[in-house]
Amino acid sequence: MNPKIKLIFLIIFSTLIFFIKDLVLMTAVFLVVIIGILFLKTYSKLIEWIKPILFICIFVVILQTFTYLPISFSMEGFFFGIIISLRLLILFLSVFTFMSTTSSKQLFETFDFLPYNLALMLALAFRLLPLIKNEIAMIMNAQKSRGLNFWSLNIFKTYFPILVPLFGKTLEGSNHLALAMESRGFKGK
Amino acid sequence: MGILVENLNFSYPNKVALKNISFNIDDGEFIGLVGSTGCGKTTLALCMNGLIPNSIKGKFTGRVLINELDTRKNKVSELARKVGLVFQNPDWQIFNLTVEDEVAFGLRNLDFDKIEKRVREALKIVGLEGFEKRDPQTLSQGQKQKLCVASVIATDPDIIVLDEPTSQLDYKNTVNIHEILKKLNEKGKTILLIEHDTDFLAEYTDRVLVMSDGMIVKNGKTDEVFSQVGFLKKLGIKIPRGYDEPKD
Repeated sequence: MNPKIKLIFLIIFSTLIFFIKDLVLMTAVFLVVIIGILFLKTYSKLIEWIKPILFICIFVVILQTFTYLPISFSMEGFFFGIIISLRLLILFLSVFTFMSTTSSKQLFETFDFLPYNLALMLALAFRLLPLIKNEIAMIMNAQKSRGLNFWSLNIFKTYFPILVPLFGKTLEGSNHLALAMESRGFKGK
Repeated sequence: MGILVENLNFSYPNKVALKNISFNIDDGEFIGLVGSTGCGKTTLALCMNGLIPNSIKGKFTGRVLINELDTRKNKVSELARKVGLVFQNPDWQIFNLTVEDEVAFGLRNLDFDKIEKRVREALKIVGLEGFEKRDPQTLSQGQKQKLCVASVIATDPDIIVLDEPTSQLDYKNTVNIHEILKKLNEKGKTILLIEHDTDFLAEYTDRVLVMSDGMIVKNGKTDEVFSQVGFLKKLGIKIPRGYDEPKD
């Protein structure tokens, strides 16, 4: 499929979900995305990435169920939590499907209608995703080997040891990239 | 000509990095820079092509002249014609989709002609001929670092500064990179190599600068510097093979 068409679908889906408030309609959009994943056969790579998102979704549903009305169980809160979770899942699955079915070369070509600096910036952001994925894997392994439990209910305790070094590493890396580009005469256009 | 550093001081907002540094490097010299982690080697490298003070802000005093061009008065893109800088981690330098585009990036920025020919020549020097159409991300770490060197030498700078280019490489690739640098030096390029492995510095360099706590604490011929075993040990610097017996 033409990457520009995929990008248009991605923008439509990710915008649409913020206007939908009805659970049935949201479920329908979710099913469309699932059919798209089955059609494009990206599910094998999906499994390793979706675990933390599912964890966040479960957390959101539980949180909404018990806090929608002050400190009591409510079905409204439960359904509201489901809507938020579906929104998150649709967003994640759409971006994931776009990324896993579009090569780096196609990515660069997708943004060629934009001004040069903006296109380069976007293409670089997508291009560096595999590198960031490797960093996440390395940090996760390092923290696991120090006994971090990823299924702990304490979300701060679980994800801070990953997010903090990841944030630092990514900032440091992008700073290096900018310096390396400038060292080779890049001035922007 | 070459590099002239006079009374250079530089402080980041929360750290003094360089203290009153002065030295000069003549054309065609192969210089090693050694020092413990955090002593200011990378900061000094960033001063060599004007990234400090033009892009990285901080308190900068003194001056750095590159082939008589003052780094404070010239843009990094102008200095890039004179000085090539190779960073430690190739993963955060390479971003193009093919090896040839990566090498051509600097050439296009600096408006060079005969880009294809220059790309081919640079890749040949580092032993990556035939890799032109490859995705750089599929290369080994050693090949990626060679690609970074090729990207720099393609623009034919007089001076090449390398910030621990072999720190992530195995022995074979390390030797490879050093052999490439030796050949470039024999062709007249001035090389400033920041390196932890003093065995290689002892073998390849004409002169060694030793840094400690933001200062140049020793500047002399390689043999003279590495003979001062006691002094180097105090700074936590590895003594190269053959210099184990103290002479100072």
